Amino acid sequence: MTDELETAPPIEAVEPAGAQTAPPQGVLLVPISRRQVLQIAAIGVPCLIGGGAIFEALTAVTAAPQPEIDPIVARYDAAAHRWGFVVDTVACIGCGKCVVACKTENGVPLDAEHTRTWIERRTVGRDGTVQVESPEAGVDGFAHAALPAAAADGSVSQFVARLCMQCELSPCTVVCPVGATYRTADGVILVDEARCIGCGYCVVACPYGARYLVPAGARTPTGVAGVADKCTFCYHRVTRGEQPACVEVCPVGARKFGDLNDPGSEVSVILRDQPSRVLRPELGTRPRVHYLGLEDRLA
Amino acid sequence: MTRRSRPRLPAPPVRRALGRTRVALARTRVVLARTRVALVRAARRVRRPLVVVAGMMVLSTVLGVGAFAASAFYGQYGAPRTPISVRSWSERPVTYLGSDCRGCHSAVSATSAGAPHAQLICESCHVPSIDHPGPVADVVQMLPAATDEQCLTCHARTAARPAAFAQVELDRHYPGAGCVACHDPHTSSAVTPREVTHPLANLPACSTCHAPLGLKQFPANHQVAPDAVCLACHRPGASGP
Repeated sequence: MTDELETAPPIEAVEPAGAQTAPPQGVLLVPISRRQVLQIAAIGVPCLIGGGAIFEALTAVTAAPQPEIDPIVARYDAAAHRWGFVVDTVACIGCGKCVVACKTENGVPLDAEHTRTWIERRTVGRDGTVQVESPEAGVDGFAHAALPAAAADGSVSQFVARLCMQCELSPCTVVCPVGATYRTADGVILVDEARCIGCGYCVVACPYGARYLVPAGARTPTGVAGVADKCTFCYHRVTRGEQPACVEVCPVGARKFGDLNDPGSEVSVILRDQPSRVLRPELGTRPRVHYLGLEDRLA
Repeated sequence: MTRRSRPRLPAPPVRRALGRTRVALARTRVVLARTRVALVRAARRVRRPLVVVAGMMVLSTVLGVGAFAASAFYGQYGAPRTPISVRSWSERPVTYLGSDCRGCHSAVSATSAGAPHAQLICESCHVPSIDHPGPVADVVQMLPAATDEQCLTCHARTAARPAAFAQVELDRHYPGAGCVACHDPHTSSAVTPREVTHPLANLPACSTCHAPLGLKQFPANHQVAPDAVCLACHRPGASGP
């Protein structure tokens, strides 16, 4: 029983109280025999296993009275979908109804600086540069917006609807220091407003300018000021099997949304049959938003 | 006791028997003592594993309860947060309900079938129908206030708008007339204003003849107006733009 303790050297002898008995480097202060190690392991491992069992039992007991499964999440299988978005710049009339619908549906602030989607009018200027304008994010359309003075006579001009590209290789999720922005199984990138610390890294990192920090005010998407926000493809609509609000209200069908896993979906057919391009492909972010009919000079 | 009370009884056979008895007693005592020691040792051997097992059970309980108590905190702020966030995004309320309006508003449905605007959902021009139909006392304003502005958002001639899309020049397409005077927004069909076929020179004001009780045509939905208003739409010699 006590053989080990009797044969082991007394603790005082190896403690560095006496300089001459200082232990050699790399040796435990309290010498411990192999037998003791095995004894501790023999006691500790069952303790951990028992603790785990008790933890599981407590979890099971307390989880049992909450069987309510969310009706939306339960029916929606994110891993079965791969969402894609197509913007037809040839069809777009720049009416701004998509911007209105987005801000209404998601409670986005009404000003131009804080917006999930916006419409740009891109025009080739006299000197060959591309003029980009987006008055009030295009929420009122462009009916009263004259072309910029630098626009060349008869120059090419196009409406380019913008939103989060939901990149497959997204810089925003990489730079987030707290893991608050993440990608779901269906490819949509979301922000966890409870974890976001509002540092703004993702806002700066996004090469498409798709993110903003929610300002304090009556209209906020999540009710939390100071956190990052961006287009979610209207995730609450998508999980219910509906189209994003901007796609729903577009009067000319310039925005199309669908499942790229389904070869018969409209977006799959379009991307298979028609030439399309993504914005800033040289960055290698592999956006899920594709553009039809975008002029070379305006891309 | 017997030995001391009878010291002087040295009969050899008796003494021998006594001696043997004494030895046997002593041996018995030794056996008893050894047994007792063995029992004590055995008891120690049995008791220690019991203590160990009891200690392990207590430690397991402490570990398990502690982990459970910490798990709620960890689940709230730690890694398993993501499913909660996904769920919170999924459960947000829908504002635009889609084109369910035509079940009740069948008159609109009939007129708009086949019209260019038939492909639009109602909420594109009307407000989102999340609050409709609301309580009876709570009249929901479904129509936008500025109707002309609604039309022009899409149909004003604008740079970058596709050429095939129906657009009007604001200052050349019956300015001031109001879009719905000629266009039904649901069918989007236009009533082309009738041309003025008679000469206009040396004539009094239009309303001299074209009046509610006048001699000439005057539609019921018109109002008496200055000549400039009439001529804005009823252009002589042209079908209008």
